[in-house]
Amino acid sequence: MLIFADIQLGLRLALRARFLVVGFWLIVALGAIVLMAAQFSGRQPATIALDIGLSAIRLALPVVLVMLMQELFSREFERRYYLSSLSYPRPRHALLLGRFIAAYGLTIFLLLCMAILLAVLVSVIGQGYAQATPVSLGLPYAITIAFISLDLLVLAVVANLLAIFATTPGFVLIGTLGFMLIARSFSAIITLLQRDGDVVANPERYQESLSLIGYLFPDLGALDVRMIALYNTLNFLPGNWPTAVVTALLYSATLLGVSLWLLNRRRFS
Amino acid sequence: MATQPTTIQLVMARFRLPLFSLLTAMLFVLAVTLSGPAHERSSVYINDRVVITAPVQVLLMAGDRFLAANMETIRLAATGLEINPQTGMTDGRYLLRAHRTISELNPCHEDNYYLANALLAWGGAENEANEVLQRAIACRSWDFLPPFLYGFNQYFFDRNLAEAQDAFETAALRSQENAIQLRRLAIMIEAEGMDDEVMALNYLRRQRDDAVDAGLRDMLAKRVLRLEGLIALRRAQAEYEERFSRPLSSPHELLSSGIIEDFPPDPLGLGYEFDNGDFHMRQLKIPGLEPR
Repeated sequence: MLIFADIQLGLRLALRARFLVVGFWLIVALGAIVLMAAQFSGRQPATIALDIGLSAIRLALPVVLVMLMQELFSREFERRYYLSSLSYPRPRHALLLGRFIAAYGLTIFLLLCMAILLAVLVSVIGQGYAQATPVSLGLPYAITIAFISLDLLVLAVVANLLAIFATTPGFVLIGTLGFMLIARSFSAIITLLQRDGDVVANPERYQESLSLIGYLFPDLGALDVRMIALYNTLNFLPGNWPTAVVTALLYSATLLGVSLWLLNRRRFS
Repeated sequence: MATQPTTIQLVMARFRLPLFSLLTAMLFVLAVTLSGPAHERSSVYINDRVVITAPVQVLLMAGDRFLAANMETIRLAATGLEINPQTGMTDGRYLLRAHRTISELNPCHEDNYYLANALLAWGGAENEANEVLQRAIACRSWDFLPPFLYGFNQYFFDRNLAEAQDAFETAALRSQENAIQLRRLAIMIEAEGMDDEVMALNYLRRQRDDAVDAGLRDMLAKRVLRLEGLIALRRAQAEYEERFSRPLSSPHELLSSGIIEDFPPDPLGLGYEFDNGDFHMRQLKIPGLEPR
């Protein structure tokens, strides 16, 4: 299958772009952040370490994703490598899907490395001070990481789409991070605004326009289920989690279809 | 014919940029050294500290409300407790806003409710502390400590016995090893709130007989005995004063006059005391914990 060749090529391109070096330093930074953050808590160092570790992972990996998408797609169009890669009779969707799988796969690999390091560090910290509510590093932690990987899938698809139709590679970074900001925060902001009535002068009007966002952006905030791992209680898994998962998958499939369609009809001069 | 460039010219041409940087750095150091000793910290009047409201913090932390809660807690724990040099006190109003904001972002945060209770309730702001504790009670459904702290605040600061007992019952349901003590506490605050000790004795006897748990029954039996001892001492005092027509000046007169043979034993070991002409149960005196 031609797609395997593309996956291999994508992996080689990413490794040539010093992905392993970047990944290594990110893991080191994660370790330092986690160990230092645990010092700031009196009653729950392991919980704070896990919490901040997960936040750091969720902030660092989209940047890695954007870097990979820029490397695998934007550079292709910028340096006109498509003159050789697309000139052979091969389906364009193999190129896109192969490289996408390579980029996403590498990011998930990095996520797993970070998750394992975080689990080790948190269990070490947890042996220092016996908390009243211990963290859970078993199934709830695995579920949390799985939901993070789904969140990264949506971001990967958005980065891919931007890399294909944007003319400047810098826009991929801004666009993806902006999308991440809005998609992750709008549901929490709406909930908080409903409780805190005096933030804006006319909260009802503000909330109306915010809820339209729900039709444009998937609710990535609902995919942040870390409370089940932090407090060892599966009750914190939101009741509508299948809806959130299916929404994210459908959104990713739609945008992937759009980027395939865009690539297929693009005329290269 | 062009002359050969000298060595110095070659070096300067090649290392133009680093040499320029070094030169400006040296000039900077010279300027700093020559500017004299740093003048004293100008007294800027710090009016109040900024606590960004919760929705905006979520936006600032890229949608991560847990990160916002953690950062705000770390900021509070690391800097909120120091004495402000301008006012000579800690920034109490800042702490109020900070704790409330963290409670909105992540009500389950353990450090937040713990510090809020310690700093706010005992610093004079028990309503705000109770607000944080109630959010923690709702969020942390397995933790007995928030309802216990809330119940204690209701009893100690507001003398709201019904609310306190509800909270202690909630705490007892959540904690296996502390359930007996919490239920005993709920019963005792009601008994001690009764003015008439006979009424209190009847109440305690009823609770002891109704108690299903053996440990609770033992504890309440001890307290029943203690109260019976106090009532016996007061009855003996009334009898002495009626018989000898003078107020009792010392408990030993009860023994020497033969009204009672021995002082009643206190199964809790705290004993009784006699001052201002009345018998009381001796309480543990913990400094700082006197009721307001």
